[in-house]
Amino acid sequence: MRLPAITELARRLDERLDRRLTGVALVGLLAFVAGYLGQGSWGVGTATSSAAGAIVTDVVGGAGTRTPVPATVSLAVTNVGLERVRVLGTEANGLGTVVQNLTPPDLELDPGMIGRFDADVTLDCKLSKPLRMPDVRLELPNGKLRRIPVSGSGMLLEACSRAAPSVRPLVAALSTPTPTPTQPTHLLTVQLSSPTGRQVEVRNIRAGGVALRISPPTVTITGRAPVDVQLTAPQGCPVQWLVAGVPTVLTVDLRPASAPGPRPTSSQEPVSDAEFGSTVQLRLGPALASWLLAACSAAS
Amino acid sequence: MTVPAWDLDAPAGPDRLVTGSRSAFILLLAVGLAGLGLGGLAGSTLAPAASPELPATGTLKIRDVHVNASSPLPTAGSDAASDDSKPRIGKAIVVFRLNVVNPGNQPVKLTGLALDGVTRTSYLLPLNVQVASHGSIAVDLTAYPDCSPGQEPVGVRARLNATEPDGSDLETIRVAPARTLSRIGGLCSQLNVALPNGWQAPLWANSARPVGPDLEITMDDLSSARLDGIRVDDQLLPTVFIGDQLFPSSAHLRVGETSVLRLHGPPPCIQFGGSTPIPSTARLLVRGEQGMQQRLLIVGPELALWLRLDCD
Repeated sequence: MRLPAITELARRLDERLDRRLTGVALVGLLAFVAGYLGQGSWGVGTATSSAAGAIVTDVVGGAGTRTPVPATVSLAVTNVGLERVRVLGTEANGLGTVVQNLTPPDLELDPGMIGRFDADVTLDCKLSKPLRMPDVRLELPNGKLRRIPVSGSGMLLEACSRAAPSVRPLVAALSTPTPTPTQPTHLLTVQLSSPTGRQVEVRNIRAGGVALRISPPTVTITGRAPVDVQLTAPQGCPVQWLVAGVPTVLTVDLRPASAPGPRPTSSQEPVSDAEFGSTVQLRLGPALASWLLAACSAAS
Repeated sequence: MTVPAWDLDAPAGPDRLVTGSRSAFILLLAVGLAGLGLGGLAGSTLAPAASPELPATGTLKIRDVHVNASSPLPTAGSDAASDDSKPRIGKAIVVFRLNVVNPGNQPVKLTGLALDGVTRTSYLLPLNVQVASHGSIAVDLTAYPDCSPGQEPVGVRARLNATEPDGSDLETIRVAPARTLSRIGGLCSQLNVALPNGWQAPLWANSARPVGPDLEITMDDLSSARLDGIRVDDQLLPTVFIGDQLFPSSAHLRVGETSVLRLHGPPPCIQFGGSTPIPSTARLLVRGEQGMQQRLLIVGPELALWLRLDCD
């Protein structure tokens, strides 16, 4: 039997090695690409699964004539991650908001915990854009910092609604101080306007917890020009007023006019908005109570 | 020079075949794993940091409160709160406003809101709403709290049951109640602030009508209610407050007969500042076991009508 020459042997060995090296390199390359593209999915080299949300829960203060308008805003920060995180307070400035003082200045949150902050802020209520709280700063266990946006900043307008009339998001006036003989008792026309030029959409109007029918059904306040809104009193005297008294203020649900989305927020027909709005009170005084009482008497 | 007689074309023996395949497999596996690791490392270093998925959050506050007056009423003067055999009145109804924000990329379906601190047991309000991605909802929910004596004054805690829109991946969303709800005293303390004093066991007027400048209010027999006042002949001059103002009045009380309370007019003009509603209730001073007490008398809109509101 004839044996191959050593040169032939080396050539065959080279070919086989080439094929093997090519195959290994290909596998390595494919694995590298898979690792590069997929690292976000399985967490190789990424941060931990820390996550937290922040939301405005209360807005108090704002009454008086001072500008910018002082208020106290309560924030809740929820740690929905699997690790303890440290909340390092908020940034100093938001959109139209400046945080003067934060209590506590920072706090640590175990998984599942809700932490509370009270922020003394000043609000630029004259701003026609939506006000926004500054981001919350979060320190992750690996030392990285993360900024968390604060939801519910729409509620900041509630403080503005208690401030001087010139910076309120919405004011109301009666088109006729008392019902005229030609006007049906159960109807009242109010003129709504925004002294700051803020564009807002009126979602609901209530009196003492009772929803009033409004016409037109969608009211958009585009600025200082007053918009007539016709209110219809409820039939009869609602039980809500029997103990709490006859209301002198209208309670109005507002949201920014630019936000798209379907309408209201009644108990059975919720809606999705980019950012939930605010609820403000419009004081009409005894004139409102007189109208509601007249409608009560007429119904009974 | 002697060359070994290797015959590369000769068939390999079974052992050699197995050893070679195993080596190749291990080599490929090692290279693959190393590639994955290096790729992941390179990816995490070079790729721009993806913004973290933010969780859905919610907040809960009181929108409105009122007292349920639809229940049958007990006899005036009886202690409704302490007698379970009689229909109870003064049951508060609370309308909560729930706001939920979903900053994530997937919609979230809410199936229920579980509340602690509203009744003695956990209170579940069913929901069937969807929060769009990068959207929010506001839902008004009615609840019937238990503020009877003995109820623990705990703060309200709330959590939402949520699923993916297809019903999978059940999760819980923590809801942060408003400050006033979450502190000790919680909901019942807030009801006491929002409603007139004595709302849990009020007296109830059967009718009220203006008689000349006066307002005449009739009630069930009040003779056992131990009204405080000065007795003149067969008339009692009781102590009656409306708002913070003392009103001159007289009462005609006979056992077994309808009681009549007369508020003497014309009523003074009362200034109601801020957002204070026009009262539809009065408060009577009564002698109780622990000294003088005030009892709420629910009159209705007739009282608000009788009061002078045009002070200007």
